[in-house]
Amino acid sequence: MALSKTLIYTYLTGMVLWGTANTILLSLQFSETSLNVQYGHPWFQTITMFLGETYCLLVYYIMKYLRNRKQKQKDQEKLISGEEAKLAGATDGSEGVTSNEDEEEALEKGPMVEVLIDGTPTMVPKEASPFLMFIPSMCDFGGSTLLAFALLNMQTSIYQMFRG
Amino acid sequence: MIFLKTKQHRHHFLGLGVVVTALFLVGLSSFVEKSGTPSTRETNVLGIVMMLLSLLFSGIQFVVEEALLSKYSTHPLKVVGYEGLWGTLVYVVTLVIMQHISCDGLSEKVRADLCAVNDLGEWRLEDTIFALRQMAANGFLFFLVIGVTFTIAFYNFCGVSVTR
Repeated sequence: MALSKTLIYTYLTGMVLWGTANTILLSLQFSETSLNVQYGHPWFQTITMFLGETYCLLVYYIMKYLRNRKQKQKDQEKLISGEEAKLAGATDGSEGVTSNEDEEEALEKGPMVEVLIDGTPTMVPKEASPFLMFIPSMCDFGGSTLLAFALLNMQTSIYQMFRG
Repeated sequence: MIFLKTKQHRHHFLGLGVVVTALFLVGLSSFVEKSGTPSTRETNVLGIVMMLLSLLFSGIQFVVEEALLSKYSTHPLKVVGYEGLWGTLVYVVTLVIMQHISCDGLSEKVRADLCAVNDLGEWRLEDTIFALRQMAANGFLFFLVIGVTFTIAFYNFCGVSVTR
């Protein structure tokens, strides 16, 4: 999906702002003391970062759930009005739902796979397996851990410039 | 570049050159001018090396992410989310292991760089339980940790959206 220029710049600005906020919060953590010991837990900090990324998954499923519910509501309304018009034996409800979902998903680009839905072959975009995400995740694992140790070993301003 | 098979133009290399030179100067400046601004943390070689390594990791991560997003129709939020989930899972295991690794055998200097000490003076590779206790005792610290998770969530969402 091609993004508009304004949207790209909004995202880029967001990246800079949130990245900076993140750095400030992280480095503030190191200057905090609690229970008479300086707070220095680079490993633990990295798991909090991953936890933050997991929020995205939650948001994704909430969004998906809301979208599906909206879609179902629409289909129901359509079904009711269709029944009123025809008065008898309208379209099959379940079929209507699936075909509508397919249409929406097909808007996203990507290779298509043939899937049998209600006995008829339908084209559905291919989704990456969650296990494939393990590879970039492990790069993130190494990268983030090293970043946390790097922050512990350098000035915040230089850290932020390097991180870009 | 090689893996994504995208075309690189002259201005791409120019930009890369400027960035590399700038980072080199930033890195150099921290060694030349020692009597600069007072800072709690000194920038040292270890920090710079770690930072460069982590940049290498995140470079690989971006390439893999872009490959995934261009090949499959997966939503960016889902990609970030699953990365977070995998990272969190692996990290939970790692933290449990580290909790049980003592740093008593190491020399004073290495220990200060790598390990964490708790209020009882025990050195561990990472003391998650103590980190949690520190958070419980210091409300501001708790706020900082929560803030980190949220900023990193927005940062990654923006990042992955731009990649797409």
